[in-house]
Amino acid sequence: MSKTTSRKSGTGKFQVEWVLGLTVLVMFALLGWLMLNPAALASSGWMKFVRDYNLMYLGPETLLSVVILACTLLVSFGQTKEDHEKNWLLATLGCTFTLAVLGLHYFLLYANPTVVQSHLVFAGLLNADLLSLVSRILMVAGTLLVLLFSRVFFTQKTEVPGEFYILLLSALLGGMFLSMANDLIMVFVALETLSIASYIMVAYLRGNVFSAEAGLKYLLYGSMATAALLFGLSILYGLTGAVSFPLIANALATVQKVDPLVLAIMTVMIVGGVSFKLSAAPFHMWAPDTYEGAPSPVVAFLSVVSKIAAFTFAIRFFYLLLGPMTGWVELLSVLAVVSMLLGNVVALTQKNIKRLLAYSTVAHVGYLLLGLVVLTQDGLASLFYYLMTYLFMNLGAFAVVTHFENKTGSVTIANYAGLIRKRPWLTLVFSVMLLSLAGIPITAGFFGKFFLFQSVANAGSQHLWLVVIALLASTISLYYYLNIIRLMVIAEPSETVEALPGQSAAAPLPAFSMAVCLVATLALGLFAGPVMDLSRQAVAQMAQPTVTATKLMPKQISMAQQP
Amino acid sequence: MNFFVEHYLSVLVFLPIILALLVLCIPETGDGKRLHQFGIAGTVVLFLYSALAWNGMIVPKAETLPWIPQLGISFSLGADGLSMTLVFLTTFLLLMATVASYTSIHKRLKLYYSMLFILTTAVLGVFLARDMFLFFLFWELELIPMYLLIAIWGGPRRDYAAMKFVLYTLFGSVFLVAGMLALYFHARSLPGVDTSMLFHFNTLQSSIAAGLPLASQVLIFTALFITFAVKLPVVPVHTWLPDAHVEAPTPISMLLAGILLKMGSYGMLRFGFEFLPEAAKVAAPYIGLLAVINIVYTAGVALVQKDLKKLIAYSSVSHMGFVLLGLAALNAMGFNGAVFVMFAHGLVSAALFMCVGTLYNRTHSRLIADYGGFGSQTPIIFYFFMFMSLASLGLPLLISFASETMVFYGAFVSQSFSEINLFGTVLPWSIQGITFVSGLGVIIGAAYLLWMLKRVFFGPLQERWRSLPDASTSEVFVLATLALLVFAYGVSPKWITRHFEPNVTAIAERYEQLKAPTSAQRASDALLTSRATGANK
Repeated sequence: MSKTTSRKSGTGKFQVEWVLGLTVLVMFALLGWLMLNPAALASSGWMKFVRDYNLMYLGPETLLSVVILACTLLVSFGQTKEDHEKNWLLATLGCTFTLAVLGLHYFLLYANPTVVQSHLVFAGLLNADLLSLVSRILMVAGTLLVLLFSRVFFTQKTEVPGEFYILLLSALLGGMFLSMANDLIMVFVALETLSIASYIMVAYLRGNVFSAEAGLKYLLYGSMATAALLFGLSILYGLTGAVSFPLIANALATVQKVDPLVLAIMTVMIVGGVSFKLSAAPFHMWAPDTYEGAPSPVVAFLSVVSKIAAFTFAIRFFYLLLGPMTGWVELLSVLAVVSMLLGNVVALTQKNIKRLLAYSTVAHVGYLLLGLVVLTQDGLASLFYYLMTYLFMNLGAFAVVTHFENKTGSVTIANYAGLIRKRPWLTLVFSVMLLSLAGIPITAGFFGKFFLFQSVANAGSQHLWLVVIALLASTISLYYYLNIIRLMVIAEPSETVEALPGQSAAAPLPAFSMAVCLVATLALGLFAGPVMDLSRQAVAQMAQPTVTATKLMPKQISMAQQP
Repeated sequence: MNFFVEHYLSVLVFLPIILALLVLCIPETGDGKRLHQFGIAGTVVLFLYSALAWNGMIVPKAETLPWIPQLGISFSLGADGLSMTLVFLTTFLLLMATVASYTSIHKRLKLYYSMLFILTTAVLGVFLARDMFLFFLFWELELIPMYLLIAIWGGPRRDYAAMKFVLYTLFGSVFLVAGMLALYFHARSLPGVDTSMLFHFNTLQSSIAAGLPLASQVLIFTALFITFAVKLPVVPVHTWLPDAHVEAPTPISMLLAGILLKMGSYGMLRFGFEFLPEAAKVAAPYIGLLAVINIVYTAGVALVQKDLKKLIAYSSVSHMGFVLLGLAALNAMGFNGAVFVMFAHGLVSAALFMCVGTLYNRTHSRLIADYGGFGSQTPIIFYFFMFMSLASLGLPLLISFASETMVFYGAFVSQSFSEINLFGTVLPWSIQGITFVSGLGVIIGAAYLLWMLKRVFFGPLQERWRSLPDASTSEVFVLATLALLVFAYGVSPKWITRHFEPNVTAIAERYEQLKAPTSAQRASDALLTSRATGANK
C-alpha cells in the first residue's frame, strides 16, 4: 500500500521536472539554432565572442550537455524505477535533437564552404572540421541506435536504469570532443571522459559477478593504457614544447636532432595507449572478458562509438602530426596484421556470441588500421567508409544479440540453432549483418573491404603483403560468421528456440533499430558513390595545411618558441 | 509501358527479387499448396516476360548508370544474342524446376522459393551484366542461396556437399577478383580513359586492345580460366559437382546442371575468349588437352558408377567438355557449336536429372543395383528416360547430335594449334587429333547410358517395387516439354542458333585477324614457359 502511494507521489513530482526538462531542452535547441545561424550572429553584438571563438560549432555538444544535466536532475528527484525509465526518453530525444543539429550544421556550415573559413574552436583547442562532423554524426547515430534497443534490457536487468543514460551520454560527449581534439590536453580530457564513463557502464549490472569482473578488468587495463598514453604525450610535449597539434607539427618538422631512443619510447607508448582503446591485438586482452561480462548495449557502444572516436583521433594524430616520423607506421602495420590473424583465428573457437563478436571486433580493427598505415588520403577515406558500414553492421548484430538475450537469457551460439523457424525476420537481420561482417558481396561490408583493400593495394607494392594477409584473414572469418547462419537456418531448433513463444510479442523499438541497420547495411553499398565522396572530402579537408594557425593564442606560440 | 521498354533488363533481373519478397508475405499453410502455386505463377510470369525479348517483341536496351564513379564502377546491363540465349534457358528451366518442385519439395517452402528466386536474380545478373564488378557481385550472390538450397533440402550428406560447393566456388572467386583487379588497374593506367566506367566491358576490352603485354594477358587469362573452370567444371577441379548433384534435390540438380554450369562456360567465352583473344590463342592447346581429358576421363568414370545420379552427373561433366573443345577450336563453327552445346546440355541434362528424380521419389534409392525391370512397372518414365538418354548420347535428329556435330566440325576444320609445349618439350598436338580422341567420349557415352538403361529398366523387378505408380501429371508435363524442345531444336537447329550466331561469329572473327605466323606463336609459347619459371622476358 505504501509502495503504491510513494510511486504515485513520485510520479506527480516527476511530471514537474519532466515539463521543466523539456522546456530547457527546447530552449537550448533554440540557442543551438541561434548559435549556428550566421545571419543572427552578425546582427547581435553580445554574441561577438561566439563568432570570435567559432563557438557555433559546439551547438551539438552544448545541447548534449544540457540533456545530461536534465537527466541528472531527473535521476536526483525521481524516486522510483518508473521515474528512472523516463530518463530513457529524455536521452533519446536529446540524441535525436543533437543529430538534427549536426545535420543542420552540415548544410549551414559545411556544404557551402564560403560561409565560414576556419573550423577551429576556442582558438585552436578543437578542430570542428568535416571529418569530426561526420564522425560525430556517426557517433550520435550509433548511440541513438544503442538507446533504441537498450531500453528493455535495462528495465529488465537493473533497479536504477536512469543513471545509465547519463553515463552513456557523457561517454558520447567525451567521444565527440575526442574526435574534434586538436590539442594534447583536450585529447586527454576527452579520452578520460569517454573512458571513465565506460568503466562504470561496463560494471553497471551490480548484482552480476561477471559484470563487476569485466568492469574491474577494463578499469585496470584502461588505467595502464592511459598512463602509457600520457607518458608518450608528455615526451611529445617535452620534445616540441607545444600542446597544440599545428604547433607540434611545426616543431617536429624543424627539430634538428632527437635521441632515437626517446622517439621510440614515445611512439611505443602512444601506439600502445591508442591501441588499447582500439582493442588492437596484442592490446585486446581486456576485450573478450569485458564484452562477455558487460551489458550487451554497453558492448555495442564500446565496440562502435568509442572505436569511431578513437579512429578519428588516430587519423588526426598519426597521419597529420606524426605523419613523416618513422616508427609508428611499422608498429601499427604489425599490430594490424596480428589483430586480423589473431582476432579471426581465435574467434573460430568461441562458444559465446559476445566473445565471438569481441574477437570479430579485434579483427575488424586490424582491417581498419590498414587504411591508416598506407598514409594515403584514399586509404583514410576508405577507412572512414568502412567505419560507417561497421557502425551499422555491428550495431545491427548487437541489436539482435541483445534482443535474443532479453527473450531467452542466452548468449550461447549453439542456442541460436533453428531460429528461423520461430523468428524469420530476426534471422534475416542477423544473417545480413553477419554476411556484411564477413564481407560477402552486395552488403556494405563487402564494399568497405573492397575499397579498403583496393586503396592499400593501390598505395604501392610494399603494401601488397598486407592485402594478402587481410584476404587470408577474411577468408578465415567466413567460417565462423557463416557457421552462425548455418545454425540458424539449417539446423533443427535448439531447446532455447523451441521454448520461444510462437508469436513474437511486439517490440517496436528494437525492431526499428534493426530495420535501420538492415536498410543502412544494404543501402550503403547502393549509395557507395556519394558516401565515398563525403569521406574523401572530409579527409581532404583535414589533410590540407591549416590556414588558421595564425589565429592561435599568442601565449601558446611563445611557449613553443621557448625551448 | 514505356518504362518497361526502357528498363526491360533491370526489370528482368530484379523481378525475381520482388517475387522473393512477395513469397515472404504469403502465409505458410499446412500443405503449402499456395506457395507452390505462387512459385509456379511467378516463374510463368518471369518466363513470359523474358519471352517478350526472345520472340522480338521488345528489343532490350543497354542500361548504364554511374554507381561508384570514384572507382569506375557502373551499373550496366546489356543483352546480346549470347546473353539472351542463356537468359531464355534460365527462365525456361526455372519454370521446369518449379513444376518439378511440386512433387519433390515438401518442407520449408517459403524459404525454398525465396532462395530459388534470389538464385535466379543472381544468374540473370551474371548473364546480363556489362560491368565486370557487377558481374562479380552477381557471381557471388549466387553462392548463398545455392548453399542453402543444397544444405536444407538435400540428401543425407548435404552438409558436406554444400560446404564443398561453397569452398570450391570461393576458391575460384579469389582468382576472379585477382584477374578483375589486374584488368582494372591496367585500364586505369591508360591515358584518356573514362575513369567513371573503368569496369565496363567496353572500357576493359578497348584497354586490352590498346596494349596489354601478352605475358600479362596470359596471366589474367589463366586466373579467369581457373575461376570459370571450377564452375564449368573442368577436371581436376570438378569433384564438387558429383557430390553437389547427388545431394541436391531434383529441381536444384536440374538448375545446377542446366544453368549454373553455363555461368562458367559463359564467363570463359565472354572474358577469356572475347576479351583476351591473344592469350586464348596461346592457351588453346592446353584447353584442348583439358577438353579431351574432361570428355574421355569423366565418361570412363561414369561407366563405373553404382549411383544412378552420380552417373548422370559425370555424364554432365563429360558433355561440358565439348564446350571446351569448341572453344579451343577458335573459329566461328567451334564457338557456335560450344554455345549450342551449352544450350543443348541445359535441356538434356536437366531432363535426365528430372528422370532420375522421378525414380528416386518413388524408391528413395539411387543405387542402380536396387533397380531393374522398371520398364514394365513405370513405362512412361522409361520412355522419357530412354528418349533423353538417346538424346544425350547423340542420336541424330535430337539436339545433342546437332550441337556436338557443330563442335566436331568446327574443331576438325580448325587450325588453332598443331603443337603443345609441355614443361619445355614441344610435342605434336593437333586439334584434329584430339577431336578424334574426343569422339571416343561419345562411344563411351553410348556405352554407359545404354548399360544403365538395361540395368534399370530391364531384367527382373524386385518385389518391393510392385506397387509403384507411374509418372504423375506434373512430371509428365516437365519431361514432355523438355522432350519436345529437344526434338524441335534437333530437327531445326536454326531456331536456336539464329539468336546467338551473329554475336558468336563476331567474336570468332577477331581470331581471323589475329592469324599470326607460326614463329610468333612459338615466341608466345616461350613466353608462357618463362612465366612458369618466374622470369619475365
